[in-house]
Amino acid sequence: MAFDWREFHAFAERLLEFGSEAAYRSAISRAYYSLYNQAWERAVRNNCRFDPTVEAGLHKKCWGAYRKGPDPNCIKLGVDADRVRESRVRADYKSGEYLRLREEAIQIVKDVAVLADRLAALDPRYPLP
Amino acid sequence: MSAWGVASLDQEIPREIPPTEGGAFFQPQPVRNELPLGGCAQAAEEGNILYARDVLLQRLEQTYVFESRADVQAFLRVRPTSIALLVEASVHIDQAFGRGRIKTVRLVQDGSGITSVFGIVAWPESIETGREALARFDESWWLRNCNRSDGIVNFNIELV
Repeated sequence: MAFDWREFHAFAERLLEFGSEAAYRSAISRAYYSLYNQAWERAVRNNCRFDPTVEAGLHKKCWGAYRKGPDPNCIKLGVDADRVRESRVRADYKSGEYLRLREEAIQIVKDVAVLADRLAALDPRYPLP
Repeated sequence: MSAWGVASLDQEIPREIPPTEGGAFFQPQPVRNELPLGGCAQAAEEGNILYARDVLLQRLEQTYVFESRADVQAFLRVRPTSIALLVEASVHIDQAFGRGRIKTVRLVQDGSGITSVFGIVAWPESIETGREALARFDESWWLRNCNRSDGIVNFNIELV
């Protein structure tokens, strides 16, 4: 039975309740991966080819496939999800002070739910191979 | 000689006097640049491009704060189209977010190296108004330009 990546999102929501910096940062990260893995599987199903041996940056390539469109909803989804990626990298790797972290974590977890709905509502042809 | 006592042009006056080298009418032909591509001409051309890139990079640094300055410069120097895109974005950011916002250039990596560059707008107000400004920026300019520079550039807000 394949793992349902949406469970990462449910877990991110629970993490928010802990109220610590580690929990907020982890919530951002889990929420992002919930979205990324759903988007990745969809792109692979649509025959998008991502060769991990050719060049670094599979996440960037995944969202790049969505950004290419040509459907405007697909482009917007790619741009917005790539923004969540930037926040995830910051939450996971940057030890500097994260101002307004709680606010941002709550918003990102909400955003990811909306983005996942937008992903599911996309025309099945997208992203194009 | 014609009936009018004028020399026939055809017979007596040469139509064309080819100038001889050293003669009064001699005009040297311009020297054609026969240097093969990859010679001095190409070096000059590349020099101009590098100069233009550095000027653009300076202009970018007047507009944005560079996070990890040396890394940002090294990353962007080999991606001049990204520099141009970030510079061009500045005016659209001002329109969408209001003038005087602090803008930062940030490199983003996902485990296996730096993969993209973000223009980050510092946002001291509510998250809702920040999202509205970002949506204005997207609609007015960014979504039509987001695939330039191989899609390695993006923009986001940071709550401060």
